[in-house]
Amino acid sequence: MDQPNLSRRDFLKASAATGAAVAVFTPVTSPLKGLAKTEKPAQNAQVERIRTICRSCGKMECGVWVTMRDGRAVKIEGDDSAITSEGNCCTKSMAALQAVYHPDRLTYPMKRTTPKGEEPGWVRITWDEALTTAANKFAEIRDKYGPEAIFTMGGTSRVWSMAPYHAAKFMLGTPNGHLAYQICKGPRHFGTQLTSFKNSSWMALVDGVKVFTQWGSETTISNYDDSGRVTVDRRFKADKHIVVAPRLQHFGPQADIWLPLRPGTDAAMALAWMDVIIKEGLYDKDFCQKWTNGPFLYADDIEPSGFAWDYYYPMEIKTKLVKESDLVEGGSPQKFAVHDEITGAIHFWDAANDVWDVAPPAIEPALFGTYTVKLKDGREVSAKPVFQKLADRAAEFSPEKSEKITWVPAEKVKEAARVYASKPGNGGIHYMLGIEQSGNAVPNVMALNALVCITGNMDTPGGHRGNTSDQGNPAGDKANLFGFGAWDVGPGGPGVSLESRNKILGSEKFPLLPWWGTWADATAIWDAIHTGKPYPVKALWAQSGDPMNQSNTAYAWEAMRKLDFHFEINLWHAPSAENADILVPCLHWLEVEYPRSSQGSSGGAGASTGPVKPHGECKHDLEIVVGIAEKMGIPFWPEAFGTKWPTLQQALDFAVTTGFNMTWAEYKAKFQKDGWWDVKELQPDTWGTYRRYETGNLRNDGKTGFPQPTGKVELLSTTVETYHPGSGMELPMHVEPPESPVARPELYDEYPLTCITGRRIPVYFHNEHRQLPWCRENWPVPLMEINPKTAAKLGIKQGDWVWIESPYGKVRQTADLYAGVAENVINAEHLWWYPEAPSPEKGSQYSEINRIVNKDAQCPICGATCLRGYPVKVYKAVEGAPEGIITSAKDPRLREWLPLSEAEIRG
Amino acid sequence: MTQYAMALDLNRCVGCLACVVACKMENNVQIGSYWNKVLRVDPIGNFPTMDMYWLPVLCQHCESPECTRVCPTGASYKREDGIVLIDKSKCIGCQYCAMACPYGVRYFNEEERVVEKCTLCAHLIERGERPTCVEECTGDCRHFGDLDDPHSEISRFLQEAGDDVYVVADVGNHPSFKYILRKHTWRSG
Repeated sequence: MDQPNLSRRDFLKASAATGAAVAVFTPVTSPLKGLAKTEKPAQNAQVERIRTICRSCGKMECGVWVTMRDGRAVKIEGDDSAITSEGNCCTKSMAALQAVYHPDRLTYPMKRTTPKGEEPGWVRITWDEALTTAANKFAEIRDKYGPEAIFTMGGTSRVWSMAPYHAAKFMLGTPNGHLAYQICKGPRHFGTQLTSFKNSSWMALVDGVKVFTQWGSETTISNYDDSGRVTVDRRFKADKHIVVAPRLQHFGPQADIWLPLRPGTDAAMALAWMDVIIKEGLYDKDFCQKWTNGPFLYADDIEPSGFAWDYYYPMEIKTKLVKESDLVEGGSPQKFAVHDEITGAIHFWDAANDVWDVAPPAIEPALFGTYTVKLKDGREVSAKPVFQKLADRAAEFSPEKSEKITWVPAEKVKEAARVYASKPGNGGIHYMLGIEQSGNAVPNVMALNALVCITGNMDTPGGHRGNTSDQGNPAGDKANLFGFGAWDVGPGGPGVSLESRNKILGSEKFPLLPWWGTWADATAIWDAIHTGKPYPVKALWAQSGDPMNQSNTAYAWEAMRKLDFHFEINLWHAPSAENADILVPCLHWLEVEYPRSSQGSSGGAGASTGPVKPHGECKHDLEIVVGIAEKMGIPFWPEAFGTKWPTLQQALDFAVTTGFNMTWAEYKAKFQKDGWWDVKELQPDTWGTYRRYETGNLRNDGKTGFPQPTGKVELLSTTVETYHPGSGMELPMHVEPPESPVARPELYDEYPLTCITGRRIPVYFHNEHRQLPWCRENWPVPLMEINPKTAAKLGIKQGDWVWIESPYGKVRQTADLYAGVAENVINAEHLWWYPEAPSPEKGSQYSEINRIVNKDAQCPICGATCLRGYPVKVYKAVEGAPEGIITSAKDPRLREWLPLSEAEIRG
Repeated sequence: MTQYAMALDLNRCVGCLACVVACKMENNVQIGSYWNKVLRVDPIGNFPTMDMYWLPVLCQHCESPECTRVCPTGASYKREDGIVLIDKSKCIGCQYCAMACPYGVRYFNEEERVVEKCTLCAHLIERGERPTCVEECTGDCRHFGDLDDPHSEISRFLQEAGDDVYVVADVGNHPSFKYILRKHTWRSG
């Protein structure tokens, strides 16, 4: 820290210079006044700094300090003591000062008085009326049509608003949730649950890596589970930096190697890397032999058979892996055959008993070759180790062969693969959202997960470690820091029956959805509302969810208008809210109290401490959810807890009793005083230890290895083999993006450009923050990136409003001439709505890019919509901007959005 | 002598705009005015072989500032510690200084009828703290201190930076801020 070396005279001058701004601004136009330090607090002003967790993005738990002056939040800055975020504090976090005191915030419950599709004519009602109406309507529809006729809608991980993921479904008994998770993070968890353990997609960048590989990710802007600050720091501490992404990203210029692949060809690229890595012997042989099903023999010419496995869901595994039961009468279907290179004999891994008959290194399980095995009926068939099958698959996508698919020259691909795998354990792959939205999400995840595993980066320092310590931790209950994750699961409710789970919408097209049991397919929900098939869907419980994030959202909008009942919890008059029948206000993160550990692998635990006193009649989400449970007579807690319907205080106390043996007040006080907990110290076995597959802490049953039917990383997924037999997707596979120029060449004559979307915007989080002056003034309108050469051909200039038109619709955005996108690609922004525009659409019809996607182009396994990589044409919009929206930082309406004063808020 | 300044390590700047909003929060900057902004220095070359970087731009607290020279009232002045400030009690809002500034970082406050700009968070410096944009920079790209003190953090950083040190276009005003850019072509001189 530089020490001041100034005279008193200088100090006074400085105070005069900067203090004047404060004095003039304060009382009239801009009631929020950041505590400019030259403005001396009044003698009696109470100034304190409160430690809490930012949730302005709902992704990273950045530790922040909130400066409170006489009960008013005036400054937000990074908490350097946060071991997870290291002092990071982004635009969105700071702009929370303008959200919490925003004049447009919802502050009391309301009901609509007009038909859906019109301006809602909101009328203020009491909380009792709101909750009673919701409870009665949900009960009525449940009783008339069955619980599946109600669906929930949830957004991103605010935690206290996650009831649509679990608690609300458990209460109502419905399996159907429209969840942002289906197109973001969920496919990563789906694909890793199929092959290693759920959410091993998360890597511990915070540990540091030798090679930093960004793949469809940009955490410098998104702060997705690794803060921007940690990202920049670890990149410059790494030896090498590789970026795999279709366009030049914010951090892209710093990469040593950039592979600008064709949108959606990530699995082909991963297979090309694996081809190099396997052929050049750069894989981690020891890990592959001991901890993957790579050595297990697979015979194409046997009937698939198997065993019951009820770890995630009652399954009957059917696989062509060679089992003892295939070879000898009475043999076990859970003993998997390997070929021992030392003796040439067959040996077995016994998954049921977690043991080899003869363990390596006494045997040398073959990873390569073709072997003849004699079946119990005397027939001899040819069998190959799974690893050989992976090598064969990868060879189909050698760098030379995949060059035509990915557009990236073979030599560059080889260079990247060699750098990444120069030795085992160089670090994980920061693979993220970019790979999930091209209509082939789970195959992409499976390919990347296989790449991570064969290069020895599973549960290693800087490798893939998954969720820190909560319900997502693979070790299950023993890893939970917080009582039942506090509130996203209401353990007292009736739950979702297996029969109902099997009816989850979309399961006809996507047979693994009941196994997954988390989301209903978004398109299937809208189809059911429109058609009544396979059964009627009549009601919605929406809680900070968003119908714009997937499927075709024009189609979704029309469906929402047909619902009999729609209950919505929100902060704003967002487009979804304007279709609701009952709309109630929740707390902003500056008002919320809640315990939290790192969602990803950052390894911290802390608390949202709620420094700001709640606004108006806004309620904590938990109180709203429990309030409906009580009105419906559904227990939220089991009898044994002493109360069926906990107060917020009881729930908070319960949450920290399990892992900390404290009351909430004690927990909060300790967090204020000492800062973040290091979960490695709290949970030495389930989090503090690496390579937990060796210790039995990657499963909830104490067995070693991975929670898979074979007990190993499944380079060949027996679950996919069972549910998608003959598809080829049991192994890593390139599935051509369904709307690509290769899959749909006939569309590209009229629509010659490939549209990608969804890049992170520095001041926005998906659809959020567009009414915050500090955000909107920096980014007033959506910017569609277009290569200057393409723009010149189309007569488009910087800043022009243009139409982006696909076979399914058209919207307007402005052109940003940017040579960082290829000439045949454009990059549009996602989830735009205009808070200044009239209800009910709130401008979502103007620029929202998911209005032009094909709702039926989806990942064949998990149903995630193809939101990136589809055909469009672009042309200048002679109409210019949509009428009435804010297009410039000088628009006076931005100043009308400045915070209310305490007097205005508190009356 | 003292010359407070910043050295910005552009390889660590990711264009996240945290500094822009931090400045607004700390200094109550008007909506639509930017004492601190971040420019995208557009990619040159042919996709995918390109060169680009992000450029934070703010008052350069120049050695020979044009703004103080053209100011008719002495409102714009350079302190002994090198910081260029505006004494709002003397400012008549003529905006000559805004026109004279080569970098477009002076903004007219319509409500107060005065010109404003980056103060280098002088009020924080006086308390021994660093400017808020330095503190909140995502990539820790900003180094702050006294250029004239060879032992200051900024001086040590610049010594290590070697030949990769640049200044924005100099028209005789001699900007004090330094920019470090490695492995890329400086195009902002």
